Amino acid sequence: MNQIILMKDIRLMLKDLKFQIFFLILVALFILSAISSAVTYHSHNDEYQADLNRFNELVSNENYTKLANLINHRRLNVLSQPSPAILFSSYSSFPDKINSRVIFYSPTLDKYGQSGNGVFRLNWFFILGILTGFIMLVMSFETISQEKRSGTLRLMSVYGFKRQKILWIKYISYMLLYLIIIIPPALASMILFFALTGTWSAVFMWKFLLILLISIPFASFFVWLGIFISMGKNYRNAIVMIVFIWLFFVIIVPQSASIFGKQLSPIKTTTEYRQARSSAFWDEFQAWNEREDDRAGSNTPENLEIRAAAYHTSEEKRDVVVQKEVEDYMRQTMMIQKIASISPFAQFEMISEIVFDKGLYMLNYMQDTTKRSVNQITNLMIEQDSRDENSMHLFYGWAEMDSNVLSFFYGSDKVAFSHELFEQPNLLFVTEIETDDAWGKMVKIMMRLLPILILNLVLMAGAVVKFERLDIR
Amino acid sequence: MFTKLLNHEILNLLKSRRVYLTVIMFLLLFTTVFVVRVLDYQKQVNQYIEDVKVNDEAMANIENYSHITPRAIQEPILFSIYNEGYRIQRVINIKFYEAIIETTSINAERNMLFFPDTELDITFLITFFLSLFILLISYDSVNGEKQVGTLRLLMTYPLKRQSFILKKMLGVFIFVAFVFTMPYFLSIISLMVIYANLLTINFFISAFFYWFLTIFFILFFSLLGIFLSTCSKSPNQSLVYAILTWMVLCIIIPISWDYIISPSLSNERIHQATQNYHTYTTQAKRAIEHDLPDDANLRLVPMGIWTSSAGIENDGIHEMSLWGYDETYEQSSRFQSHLYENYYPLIRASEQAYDDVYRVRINTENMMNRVFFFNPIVIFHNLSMKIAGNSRVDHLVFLHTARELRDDLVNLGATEGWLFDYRFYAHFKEEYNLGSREEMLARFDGDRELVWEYVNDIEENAEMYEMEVPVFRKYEQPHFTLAMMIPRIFESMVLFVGSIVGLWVVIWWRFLGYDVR
Repeated sequence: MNQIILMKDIRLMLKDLKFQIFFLILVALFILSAISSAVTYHSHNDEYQADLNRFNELVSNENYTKLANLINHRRLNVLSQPSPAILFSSYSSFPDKINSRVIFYSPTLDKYGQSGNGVFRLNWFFILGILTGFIMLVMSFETISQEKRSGTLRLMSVYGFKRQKILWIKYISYMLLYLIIIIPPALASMILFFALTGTWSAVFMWKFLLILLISIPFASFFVWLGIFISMGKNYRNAIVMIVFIWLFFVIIVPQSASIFGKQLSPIKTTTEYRQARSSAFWDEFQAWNEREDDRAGSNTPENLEIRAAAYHTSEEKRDVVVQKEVEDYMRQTMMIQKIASISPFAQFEMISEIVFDKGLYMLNYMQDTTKRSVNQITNLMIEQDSRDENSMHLFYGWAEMDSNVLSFFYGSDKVAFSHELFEQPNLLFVTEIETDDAWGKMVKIMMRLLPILILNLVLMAGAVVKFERLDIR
Repeated sequence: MFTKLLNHEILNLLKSRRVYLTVIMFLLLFTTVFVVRVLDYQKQVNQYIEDVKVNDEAMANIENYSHITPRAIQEPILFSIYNEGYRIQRVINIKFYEAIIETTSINAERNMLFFPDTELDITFLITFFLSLFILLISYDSVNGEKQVGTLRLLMTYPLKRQSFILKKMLGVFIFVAFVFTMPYFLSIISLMVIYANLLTINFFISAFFYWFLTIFFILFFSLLGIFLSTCSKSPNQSLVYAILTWMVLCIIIPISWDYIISPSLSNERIHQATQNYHTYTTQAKRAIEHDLPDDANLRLVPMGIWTSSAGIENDGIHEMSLWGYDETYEQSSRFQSHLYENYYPLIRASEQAYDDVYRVRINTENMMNRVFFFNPIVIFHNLSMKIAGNSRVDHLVFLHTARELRDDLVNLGATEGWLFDYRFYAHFKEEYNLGSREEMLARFDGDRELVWEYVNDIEENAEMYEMEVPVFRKYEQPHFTLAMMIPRIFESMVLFVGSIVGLWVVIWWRFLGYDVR
């Protein structure tokens, strides 16, 4: 009997005009998102290849990898490679590239493509995260009220159906419907994307399937919400209500998150940060000068050692300020993310960051990788320099400039820091970034899924209790 | 009879709980967005004041002509509260040797770990929320009456069908127009009170045209809602139609354009223009680094008293704080002349190529207006940027103004001669001229250390060169008058009005043959 009702429910829904139109729209959107993401993927990949070529050109220039030049004038690049993840989301709020000084972590960040003014982007996140929530709400907002109006609810209770069972059958049929409208077009979209970009990879296929699986509790949340609302007296008012709820989660929370996050966790202006960095350096340098009778300011050979120590310590002081600056940025970003995570949509995107190694999740690992690379390169440079007999082994930013003074005024063969070429120039361009292992990721995903699962349970309990007390006449 | 029905229609709307809820939501959202945007604008104004202060201080402390780096600083546009427009940094640093292609920021708060895609302004509220709310109010205006039987009753009265549909449309339109106009004018008045000293004629022109445009927008969606309610017998079905139409107009068309149609139409041309830009930039780089004649090559000048750590090798910027050897001065003069003749034309060409990229984007935007003339959301979005004065076109104007300022500076240097003589780099007075390297070494019997001490001593104690900074015209905010505004919006407005008239005709025709039973 249960089966019969379930089949009847599903058949009725399949015949519903709403379902048919939504299904067509979803098919179109999934196909369009594959095409649009392929276009974006190509442009990001071109940019990435251009970066790669530029770097290869640079390292073939001998002057570029001269150890003394590496200290002050050269940059370390850590890049997150463009990947098929772009089909899910472009994650355009977060940088893909970190560019830092070789010997200190002082990052500037950038991303592929231009930042747009658009709120919506055509990708899976838009469809699965934003649109299907709305569609499930619109499909389910009159579930109970319709049955009540047509009298079938009363009829079913006469047949001796338990109310809970009716509710569960409704819920299951909506969830099956969700799978019917999502899985076939999503698979088609994935195959089309792989074909257009030539990026077929089994790993990403499993990742896309996983993300489809993860989207189920989010859809379920909106189905329960719709069922809950459909028990209200005036179901036409309910439509205004559900539109508002959807808008609240999709637009108002994520959009205001960045505005309120900035107010709650303010950062300083770029000028203030610049001044703080500069004064951290010069205060320390002046202190050295005062302590050492102005010897830190002089680049005569006998003062170079003091000068190098002074300069390097001052740079370390500046580095501390830069670290604080980055911490401020991170604090603000975390605050914005915390506020945004009130919305299930934002939660969903955050989970996808873990699945696809993108966004804020990846940014943290990119920062760690950059810091590790800075230390590694620094150690290798010092080690290589120690083998150079011409070097005075003075590791500081002005080493190259002071070497020029040494040779011009003192005719010295010695240089402050080695002029040999760095033996491992490839370390200056990092594209392999290590993140959590599968188990670690799973734990993080479960932690993020927990709130939405709890919300599902709460809504379900609410709906069951409300339905038990509902006057079905 | 008509007035009576119209009054009845509006009263009915006022009594409906659905409408009541919708209006409250809209007013709440309007107030929230307005307050948020005003706070943001206040922040921008504070940053602008700081920027001007920083610039004035920098200009007051310059030590030689090569240090003159005036800034073009754009005042935040008050009307950006209603339309954020094309977001840019508002400061351009004008340097002798840099092509002006982008804006930077001085005092902005910029979180470099996070670039949020926010667009929460009144325009977004109108295009996104107001459009949906109008449809939610009007989706059952005709078939709802049919369902309860009042439509049939009304048609038995001596009332023309045209009058009925007109009063339906006017009922929704007047109601929504009032709901929008009331908070809008209150917000305008509050801005007039808060920012009385920042008010310009621009603001009033923008405010009027924006209101005018919104009224048209409301008219379109009122008509659309009524049209949809005649397309189906059941209000539930027309509700689905309304939501779908809204999704297509508001979300699917704009994103399909942005991510599929626009890239396929313009990517090739943008790529070509970008290539041109890179070609000119590379040529300019060659002119300054590789194609230099020996007598203008600064790298051949002996080291020592040039503060050339930021020398030619690193980034092509030549900044020398110490004027010294005669030969250095001669060489730098020739270097400047070489730049004036060979380099400047190339950076101007690269700037033009950069503008071409912009123009392609602007053309694509205009094309979008023409292709989607039936979509008021697209038209409203683009027109409101033009009305507020923060579109891509306005950004180009800003870039051009900064370039004019740079060209004025360079041309002044050429006519007054300081671009080609020691005054460009001069830091210390002429009497400290050190002579050539050989002369110096001879003066100190070949003792390099003494030479170095002498130079250091000059650097620490010498009197600075006193220079008169040329007066540059200040950057002014572009003002547009009524005569300038109308051509900006004329084409889109004609298309917009055309689509409204078209929709009205379709409804008229449809309702004449509508089965009211």
